[in-house]
Amino acid sequence: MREIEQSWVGGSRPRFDTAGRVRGMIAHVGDQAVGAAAHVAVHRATQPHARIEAVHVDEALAMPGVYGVVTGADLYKQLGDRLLTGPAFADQPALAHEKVRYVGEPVAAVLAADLATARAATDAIWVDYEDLPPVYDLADALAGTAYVHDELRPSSVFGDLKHLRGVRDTNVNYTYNLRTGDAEAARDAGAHTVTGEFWAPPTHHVPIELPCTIAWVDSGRLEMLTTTQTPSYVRQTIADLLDLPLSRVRVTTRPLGGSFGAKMYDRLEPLAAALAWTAGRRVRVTATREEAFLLTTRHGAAVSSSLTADAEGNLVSSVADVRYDTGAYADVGPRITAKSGMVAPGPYRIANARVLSRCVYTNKPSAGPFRGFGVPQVTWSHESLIDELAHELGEDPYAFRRRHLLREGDEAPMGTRMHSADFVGCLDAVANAIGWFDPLDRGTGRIRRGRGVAVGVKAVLTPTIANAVLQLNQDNSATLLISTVDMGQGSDTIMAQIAADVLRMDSRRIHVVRADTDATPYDTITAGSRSTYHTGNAVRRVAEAMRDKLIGLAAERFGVPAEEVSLTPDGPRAGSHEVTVAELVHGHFGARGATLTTEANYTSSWTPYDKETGRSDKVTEHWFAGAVGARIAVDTATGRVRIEHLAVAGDVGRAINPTLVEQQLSGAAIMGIGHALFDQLVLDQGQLINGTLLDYQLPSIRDLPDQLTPIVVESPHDDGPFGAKGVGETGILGVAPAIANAVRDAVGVRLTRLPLTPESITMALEENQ
Amino acid sequence: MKDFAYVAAPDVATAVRAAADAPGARFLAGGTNLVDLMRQHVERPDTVVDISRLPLTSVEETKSGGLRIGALMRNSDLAAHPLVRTRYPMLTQALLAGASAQLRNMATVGGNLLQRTRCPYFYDRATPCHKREPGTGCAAVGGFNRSHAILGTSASCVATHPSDMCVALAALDAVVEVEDVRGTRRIPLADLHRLPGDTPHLETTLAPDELITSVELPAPAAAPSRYRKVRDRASFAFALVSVAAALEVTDGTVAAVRLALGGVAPKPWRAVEAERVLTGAPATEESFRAAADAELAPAVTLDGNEFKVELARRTIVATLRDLAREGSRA
Ligand SMILES: Cc1cc2nc3c(=O)[nH]c(=O)nc-3n(C[C@H](O)[C@H](O)[C@H](O)COP(=O)(O)OP(=O)(O)OC[C@H]3O[C@@H](n4cnc5c(N)ncnc54)[C@H](O)[C@@H]3O)c2cc1C
Ligand code: SF4
Repeated sequence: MREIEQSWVGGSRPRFDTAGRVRGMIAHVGDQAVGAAAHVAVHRATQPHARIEAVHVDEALAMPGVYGVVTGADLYKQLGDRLLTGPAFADQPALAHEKVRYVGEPVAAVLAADLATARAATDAIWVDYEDLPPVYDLADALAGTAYVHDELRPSSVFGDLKHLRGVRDTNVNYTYNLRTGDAEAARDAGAHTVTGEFWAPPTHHVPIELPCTIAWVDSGRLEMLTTTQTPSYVRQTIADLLDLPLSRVRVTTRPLGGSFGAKMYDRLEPLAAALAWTAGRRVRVTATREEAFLLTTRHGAAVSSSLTADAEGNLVSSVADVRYDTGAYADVGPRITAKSGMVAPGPYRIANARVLSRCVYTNKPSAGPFRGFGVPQVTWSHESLIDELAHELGEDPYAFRRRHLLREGDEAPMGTRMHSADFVGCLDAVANAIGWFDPLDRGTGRIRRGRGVAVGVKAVLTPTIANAVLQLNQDNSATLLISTVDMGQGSDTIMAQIAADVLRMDSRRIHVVRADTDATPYDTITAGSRSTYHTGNAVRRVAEAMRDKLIGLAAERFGVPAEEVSLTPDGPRAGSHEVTVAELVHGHFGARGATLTTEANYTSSWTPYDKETGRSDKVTEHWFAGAVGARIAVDTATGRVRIEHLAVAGDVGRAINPTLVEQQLSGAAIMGIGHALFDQLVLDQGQLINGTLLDYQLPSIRDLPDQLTPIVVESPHDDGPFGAKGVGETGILGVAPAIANAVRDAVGVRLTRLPLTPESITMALEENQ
Repeated sequence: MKDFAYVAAPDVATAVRAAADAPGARFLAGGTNLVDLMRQHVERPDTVVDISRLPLTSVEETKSGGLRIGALMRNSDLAAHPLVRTRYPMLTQALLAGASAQLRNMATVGGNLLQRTRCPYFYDRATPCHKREPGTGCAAVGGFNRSHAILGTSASCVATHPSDMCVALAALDAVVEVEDVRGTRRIPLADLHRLPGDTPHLETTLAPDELITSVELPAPAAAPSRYRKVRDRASFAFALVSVAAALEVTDGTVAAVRLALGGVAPKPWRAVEAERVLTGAPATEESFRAAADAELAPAVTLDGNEFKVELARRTIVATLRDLAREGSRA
């Protein structure tokens, strides 16, 4: 391959930012000099559920260096109900107003000359509370004696939530129902049924970079620099909050030091904007690591489910009751509830399916998007059930799955067909990699070995909108304007590869502009693994428009029809005619330094699911298909699991950059190991107990598998850019059940609660004896 | 953090004098525990006496063939010391099982001995805790108590002593040397830490102004030894259960055994009952199990830490089994 081709689609060109990230040469938001600014620290609620009677701020105000103290009531006076924001429900105030709904909720903000003073002053604030009955968990919430919110307040973002406006006396803010055939009857008539009560606890994202927002007012406009994956969304939120036209709000970003969903929607931004606007000052809002644990979490989820086979071993019924604990604020929980509920039966041919999926308020830190968007929690259920059913039928769990997996063109239980979702290829790949078909030394003494597999399916976020603007400079370098945020996944690199491939140029000569809503065009969000497909398509189109423009100019110059002109790395060619891009653009404008500009849009579409049945013939633009295989050793004395080999495969349609795809698969698998064996937020009476990096047990480097094999599976998507789809979440879906299935294989115990701690394994072994 | 007076002590005499003159003063060694606690307002000393420059950083051989270790020796230096590595490998293993390399580079022997519990409620001023504020209650008993103790607890407090090093020192019969303005004294490690009883805020038998100057180890035994730590992740985590053990087997019979446990008790826990059962017994799986059962018989569990009994039993048996095998091979 010529060197330039390495920088095109299919080439493993290094990420443009690798050296900068490793050497600390890329300035993140928190590294930016802010100049004179008020530093903000937040006083947080000590009660899980209470009415705010009074906030005493005099002592804090009197401290030298304190510029001001702002409460929820102060902001409400200025902003009214606009103070309440959120992607699905307008339920979350930047500072608690009237009520607090979780321990750690921001109640008052101190603005001070420096951060130390601001933090010290938060300790001098006192709040009088009238306690309300707390809703600690899903059971409390569904018992329905106390309510976290007096009434539901759907936001204007999602039209299909309108009917929930004003509903009272419930903690359930959204319900998704899937009804295909008669699953209950099929279960009762079926020959073999396995059931389970599954639990996946709340977890935290723990990106390395902490969140930070700097906001200021300039010429009557609110401007901010912030750590967000969703600049376009934030601009809209701030415009709504401050009642400004979109043109008077500017949101800018820097590359993020990881996010995984932690820096999406309404994090520090509404508070920063409200303070900067009302105080007329530049403000800098940060969070400590301990505070970051409170900002957003992954939904804890309970799944009560069953899977039934008939006497011939065909899957006839899947039933699941899924409850997502969304904490004090809905965030995007209702979307997660629907998108994950619809895949709760798994990627199998099942004649009858019934899913009830609910999003439930509790008095806990709010849960929001997290790599996988709720799907790992239901995958935990369906991949454990099908494994157990295979054991019950005396079948090989790999072969049993393989027989029932959805194939190209098959209709999933929610009514949408499969395309470019090679579950079988992924499963085969991981099974081969971990040696499923080879003899296994199972061990006879303390150490016992086992193998497990799991498959995952997820829909891409649909419908969404992407736009791109391309400026081709006269020297045949280019500037690409998109609002995708590079947080380590490598989007800036692969977007350049897509454009360069079309334009036959060196992708290293393309600069991708960091999202700035004053300059880069609207893009729904950087999340849900949607960018490669959606923004990638917009980038492909914008590059094609540029190619056509160049070819048109060359045709004019050569005096030949456009069809005879082709674009090569050395410039346009037609027979013996040749010209470089530089000459062409210079010749066209007759001046130095000019640019050619094109723009393009890509918007995906869907058919909204039916309210009663949850079905749709196109619920998503495309599917993610992945599989995980694990070979593990259990120390039966201590209950520790050692992963000897973890293989993770994902169907990416077409790998724009194979190395980056492998890194996404490996990174997701490692995060999944955390969810399988380590991660959980522990709350006691609403109080987070382990919100520090010491107490929150992320896996350490020594807990990683002896061998980790990422496998790229490619079944091109008809409409993907060069056949490509995203891959950010594919690798995480099946990790926990694959490991648990391997534990089942090794020592014969079926665990249904995550994480698989040493004690849960020793206790289960005890009970089995 | 509250304001405090700071005294940098160049020598032991100045340090103990400063402490005697300022009741409630705290010695600052590596600071890895004290500073965290001060930032959380759990420790609020008016005076901090910085002892980090005291010349107590050497390892010397004693006349009786043991070692005297300076109290200000860093954990990483101690773990790497040739005499410790070769003669007391269990101590090196315990030190290296603790914290992280960065912390071990700062942490000292004295600070490690006196480090305070990791009970999350102890750190959280919003919750009741008898240890932090006597008389307020214990949030752990009805709360999240997965990491808490099963032996030696009381109704007042169920916190563990979190040190790894101390478990090895307990098995090795270490003696702690302390000094104050009145003079010096020697305290067997077993008598340094107290059980909580109804005064969990009193953690040791030291007077507040007593300075630990060194730790003495008796001559090493030839028996194979091991420190084994079970924790949630393979580094940077406190022990759920740990075992320090040395086992000498002669003709299939246990001639001598030392056994101490970590992660299960309010102090480094010398397993005297297990040692009694084992000494003179056949070195078999059955004896190991009987010894573990005898030690764990008085265990009192809470909702979240029931697993520790079984985990401790299995870890004790596994460690002894490994040592017996190692001994018979030698
Ligand atoms: C993130 C983290 C993880 C950790 N993980 C582990 C682990 O896995 N295993 C483990 O065993 N430990 C662990 N530790 C604890 C660590 O070992 C202790 O913090 C350390 O040993 C304390 O030593 P220091 O010298 O820093 O003590 P300091 O913090 O300076 O002092 C601690 C206490 O001892 C007193 N003190 C210190 N020296 C003397 C002396 N010579 N005489 C009298 N009083 C004295 C101080 O006044 C203070 O009250 C961890 C700590 C952290 C922060
Ligand atoms: S166990 Fe001890 S340290 Fe923990 S809360 Fe109870 S009294 Fe306090």
